[in-house]
Amino acid sequence: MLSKTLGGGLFRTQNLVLGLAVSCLAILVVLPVGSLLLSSFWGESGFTLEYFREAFSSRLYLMPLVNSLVLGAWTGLFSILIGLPLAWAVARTNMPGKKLVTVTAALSYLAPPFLTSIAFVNLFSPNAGILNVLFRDVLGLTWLTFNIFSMAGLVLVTVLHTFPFVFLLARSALQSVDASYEESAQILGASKFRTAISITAPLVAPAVLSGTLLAFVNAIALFGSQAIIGLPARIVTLPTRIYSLFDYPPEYGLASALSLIFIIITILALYLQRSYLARRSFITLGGKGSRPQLIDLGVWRWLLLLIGLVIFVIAIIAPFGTLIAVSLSDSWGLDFWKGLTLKHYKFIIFDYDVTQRAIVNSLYLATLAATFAILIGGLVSWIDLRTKLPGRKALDYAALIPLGLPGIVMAVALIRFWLQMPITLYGTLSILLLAYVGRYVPLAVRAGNSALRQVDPSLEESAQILGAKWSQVMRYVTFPLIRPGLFAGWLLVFVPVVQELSASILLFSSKTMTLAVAVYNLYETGYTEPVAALAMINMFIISLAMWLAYRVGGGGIGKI
Amino acid sequence: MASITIKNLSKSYGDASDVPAVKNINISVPDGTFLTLLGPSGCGKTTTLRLIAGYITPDSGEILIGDRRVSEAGSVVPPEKRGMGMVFQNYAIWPHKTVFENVAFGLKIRRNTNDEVVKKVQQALSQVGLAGYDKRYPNELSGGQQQRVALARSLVVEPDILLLDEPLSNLDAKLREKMRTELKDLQKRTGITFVYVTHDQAEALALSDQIVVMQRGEVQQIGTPYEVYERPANRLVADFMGLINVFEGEIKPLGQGKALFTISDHVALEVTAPTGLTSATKGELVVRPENITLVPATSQSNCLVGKIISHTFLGNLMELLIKLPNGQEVRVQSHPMNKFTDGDEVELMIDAASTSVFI
Repeated sequence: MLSKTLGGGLFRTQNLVLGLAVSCLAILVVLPVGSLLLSSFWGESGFTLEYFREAFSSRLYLMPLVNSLVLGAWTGLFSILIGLPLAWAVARTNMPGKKLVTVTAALSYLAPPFLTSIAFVNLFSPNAGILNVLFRDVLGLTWLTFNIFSMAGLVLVTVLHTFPFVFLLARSALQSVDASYEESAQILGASKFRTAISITAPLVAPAVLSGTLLAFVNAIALFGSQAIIGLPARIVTLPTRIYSLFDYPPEYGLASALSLIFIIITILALYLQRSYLARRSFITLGGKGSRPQLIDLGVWRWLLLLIGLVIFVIAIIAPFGTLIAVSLSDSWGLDFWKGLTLKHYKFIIFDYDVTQRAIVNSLYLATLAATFAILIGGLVSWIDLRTKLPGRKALDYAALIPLGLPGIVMAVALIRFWLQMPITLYGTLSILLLAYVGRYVPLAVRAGNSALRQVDPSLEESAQILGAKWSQVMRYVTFPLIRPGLFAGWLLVFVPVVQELSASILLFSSKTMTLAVAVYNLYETGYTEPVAALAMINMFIISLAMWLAYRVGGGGIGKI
Repeated sequence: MASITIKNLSKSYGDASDVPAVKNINISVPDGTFLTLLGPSGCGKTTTLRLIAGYITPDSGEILIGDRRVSEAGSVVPPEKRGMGMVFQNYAIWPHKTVFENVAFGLKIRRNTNDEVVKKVQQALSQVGLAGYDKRYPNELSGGQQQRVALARSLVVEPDILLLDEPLSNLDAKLREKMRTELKDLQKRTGITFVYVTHDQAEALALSDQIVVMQRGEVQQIGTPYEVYERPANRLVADFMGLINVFEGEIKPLGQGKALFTISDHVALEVTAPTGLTSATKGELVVRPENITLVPATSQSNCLVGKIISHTFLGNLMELLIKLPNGQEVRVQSHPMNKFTDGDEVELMIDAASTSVFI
């Protein structure tokens, strides 16, 4: 009904702006995915199931599928094994060092896995990894050596990135279980153990499962770690197989079909995750009772602290210590500390035009992408929350589609779509920008949504009845009120875009090199030390953005 | 001219099968009236107010301000072109603006000069008793003060019509009483047409020139406070306007606007005949608790007799529950100094003039 109001001609600016947001979303997400769908079923001579037949019959494509699922399953399992005990310890016990554990989880999530992969390769590559060299050649403890180029190595690196999903969701569930639920079981005679099994566990299980599924979805989508660790180990996964299909001659049909299979797995997992999460909010957010009492662990709490410290060392100190050490060493090896130097930094910042360009491009793209994404996100959530426009829910869902698209699949979709268009975008910065905005528009919509939910509609209505036009309401009331939330959302998009690899790897050209692609290419070429220096620049940029986000109120960072 | 005429207005949310939020509403509000839309939550009163404001487009019917049509099926003049004022339940004071900036907003939109803005804002603030608060931010104000800012903000643009959506419901009881008086004063002084929404019937009775009682999306009755309380148009209105006792019985027309309502074999009352009564039929007699007087029962009483089963001391009055021989319980309010106790047999004297009969 309100649509009529909007259409009255009195609301020109509003219609124009909102229409723009809708068409942006269509161009970014709906059309590329549509053309992906089409090209996986459309061969030279019309409709065909040939691509799917081949994908499901050849070992070349079945193995990656299996490997991806195996990787996801192991990662999910270990994410629970690490995340759940830590969550319990932080939420329910008197362990010391809770802050350390929380910070570890947040940093592990934020650390880009392709960088941790490179760091662990420097430590554990079978021949030259310095810890392997140390154990084997210096200490003679061969049994302590570890080959990072294995499924175990891949799972290790991936879990470091994904256990925070389980940790954060389980922690908040454990904290929000009303103490009275457990107390009433105890007053009825249930032991502590019995209470934990029959009351607490069922209440937090949906959150844990939901975190595990998120871990799964994120794990299988990571191109960087699967290329850096998986390929040398001959473990080909869906992203790396799709990537290889773009070697000359590119096999678009097969790539599209594989992408579609990938999407289906992802969406299935996310659908399950949503339904678990829905149940969680249904159960545990019941009362406003008191916090549960913390369990006194006695001396055992020091063991928990030790475990927390070990994880901190493995997840944070080891990879970043290694990257710093490598970046400063003349030549990486056991005696790296003998020749510390800044020359690699000088090389990538001042001497090498490829890395220079990559840094500038990434900063430029991230700034633009974050701005566009947050604009679209803000408008989409405004339409969703403030209007009765028919189809506004569909719009909201459209903005969520990218969550089901692994980065490389997004890239395939964009390539398929834009190759058919009369404008040449392939190989330009624009196609990267489209990929970035599209990939992270869900983050922006969520940021816009939560910012807008804080603003009661009556604040806008009261400006309206005082005579303010839509543009004036937006300018004087809505925007000033949601600005802090939007800025936090802006940073939330900026951070992943700066280090985006999964989609960029298919979309870059020599002119449009980005930071993460430069890291990956340098690594492939064997520039061990400059890679580390470039990785540190990457980390510096992210840290700066995170610090800013923390300063403006920590909005949304580290939350899932 | 700021009279409001609402003709056959209907609005439903969602699909057509839904119960309409408001259904075929007809109200006319003369210029300078304090009109209250009264009803329980979900009765459509807020929808009606928002229709008047132009936030919602009606499905059918029309709204006129003076002679100007502002709403009709499928299209409306948007709120910003209606020149009304509105005070929201949560006040809707912008938290990022000072008191001065809040009040000045409407004037700036209307492109008043700076001098005018300052002068008018100061005037409006002192009118609501907030002179000197102009540099404060809303979070530095109490609920009552925020309420006044909202009022000043609406009044400063000199609207012909002020809409108020349960403006007092977030205040504590004492302050509510005080603001009630101030609102009434303000309305009289300014002569602005007030359309006021509330679910509190005491508030409506105290404030209004006219009350529109709404329920289930429909107008049940329009009248002065006295009319809707003493002469409710139907059971719903009677029920909503205060406590009632309902006696079922038979009603028989006596002619000349009179009728005889028989409660039981030997108890009957002469009452005003309800419209449409032509022959004897079943009906309901509605009596408010304060319109029943109790006297000690005597053995030969041939009226309504019952036994007191509980009494509750409410300070300014005593509430008694009386059980009739047929099992019905009757609520009676009497002076707190009365001398009855539980178990006493009493005779119930019903003031026939203040009853209502519905058939």
